[in-house]
Amino acid sequence: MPRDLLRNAPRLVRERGLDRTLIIDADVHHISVIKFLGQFMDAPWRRLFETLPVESLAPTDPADRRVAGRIKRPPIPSPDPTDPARAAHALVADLARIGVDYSVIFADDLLTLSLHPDRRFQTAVARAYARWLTECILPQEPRIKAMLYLPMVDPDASLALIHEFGDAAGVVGFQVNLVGLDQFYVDGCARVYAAAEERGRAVGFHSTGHWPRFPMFETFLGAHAISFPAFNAMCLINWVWSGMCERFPRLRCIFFEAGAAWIAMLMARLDRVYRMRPEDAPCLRRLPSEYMAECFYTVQPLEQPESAEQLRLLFARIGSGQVLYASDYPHWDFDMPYSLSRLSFLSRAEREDVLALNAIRAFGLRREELSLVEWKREAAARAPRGACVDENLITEGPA
Amino acid sequence: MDWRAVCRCDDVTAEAVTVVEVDGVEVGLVRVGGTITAFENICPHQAGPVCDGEVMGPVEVLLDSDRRMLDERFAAHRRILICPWHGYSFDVATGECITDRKIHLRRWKVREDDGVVYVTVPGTRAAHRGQEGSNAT
Ligand code: FES
Repeated sequence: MPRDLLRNAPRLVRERGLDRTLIIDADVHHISVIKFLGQFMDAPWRRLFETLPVESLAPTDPADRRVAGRIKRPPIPSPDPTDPARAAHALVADLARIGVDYSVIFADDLLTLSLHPDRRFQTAVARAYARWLTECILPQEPRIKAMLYLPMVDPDASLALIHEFGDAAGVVGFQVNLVGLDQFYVDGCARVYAAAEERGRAVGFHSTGHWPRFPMFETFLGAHAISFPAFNAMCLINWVWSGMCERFPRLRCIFFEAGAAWIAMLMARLDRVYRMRPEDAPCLRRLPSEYMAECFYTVQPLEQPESAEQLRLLFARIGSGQVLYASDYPHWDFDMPYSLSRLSFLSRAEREDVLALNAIRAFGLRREELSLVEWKREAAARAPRGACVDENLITEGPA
Repeated sequence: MDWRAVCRCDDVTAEAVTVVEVDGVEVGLVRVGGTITAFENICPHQAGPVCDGEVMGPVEVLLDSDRRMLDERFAAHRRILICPWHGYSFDVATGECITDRKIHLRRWKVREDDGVVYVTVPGTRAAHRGQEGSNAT
């Protein structure tokens, strides 16, 4: 019988005093769903999903993320068509053990859906996913929040999806998957962004380390290293030059999962070229970096430079008020919430912002409706605050 | 020194880590050459159960005289323990991380006597840090 791989986590959460700190995980990918979505589709797509192994239709990536079995995770229950919320409850239970109180999920296998060449397929899956979430998961599991997939190849379909599902309880925003996009549909999708802004919902931009999109690399490691920051940067460049922050000043946008260093690089580079050619970006009234400083970022996997000073400078440039904690669990490069304790240059209040309060702003949540998971509530009631017994236990990066 | 019997010597192999529990602390035992090394089962990266990971040789590359890659194989002269959470790899002889020499596993003192493996039981983490071979971070 395999041993419980998460068994060390609750102790670390307690030792770091995080058992009384609200933690919102902005990016969790626990559930692969495409093959279970047939029942949420209308004919004729439903028939296709019922007659074929749907995995064979979804875009795949030949990369081995488990490094030939070296990396292991607790078994993930598959969504059960007769009890769709079971896998969601299991997800919440796993995440509660690492200290997470609320999770914003996005299905694993939808991360590459934008690579599918058939826009009707993308749209059918997007709509079925929204139905599955809003009918079966979100009403049953209040600790899960979700971003819906937007099939941006089809702005009309994206808009319809926002109108139909955007106000459902637990929906906190919409995801644009970058890896399949040859254009970023910034201007052509203005109506979509306007609809998200009107509803007070966030728009997230998320990439993945998809090796076939980077055939110039001989190893997956090369594609993984550059894919996330490259796609985020390409999207953000279009976003800034198109003046989207001027046109949609209340729209909260979030860039996911590319670390922190690319943000500072891009700020410096865009400011440099903008000063020389403002005519190319006539919507802008300020420096690009000022708009970028208003976006939100999940910075997992956070870089591990030799010196804490380098991280401090990155956070100062981005602004700790714009950083959201995200585990990316259960992916192979996930970050535990207590790994943030190495950000010793942040005050306790700033760390709490990163762990929860920034996410509350970004996703438009209400603090008074959020509570600690049960074991943390009990722990907080039993023991006094304090007592980080061993600050040196985690030695990743600079202490 | 407080030595605790934890298992039989035959239970400890070079192929995998044998995890035992001493006063609520998990310790992994692995045979290296003729001796046994003992590590606390907590990874210095993000506290994963490192001793639940695989033990194997690191992958090495063979180059020909033109320095073209001929082949890859598991190194025979060295064994590593790979943490199942993110794949950090530690030399089982020393506990040192092979990709980040600043970090290493906490080692516990261990001895074999009459077919039985004994480890020391430090009273506190602070005491443990003062011991030979442990992380002095
Ligand atoms: S916790 Fe061991 S490699 Fe990350």
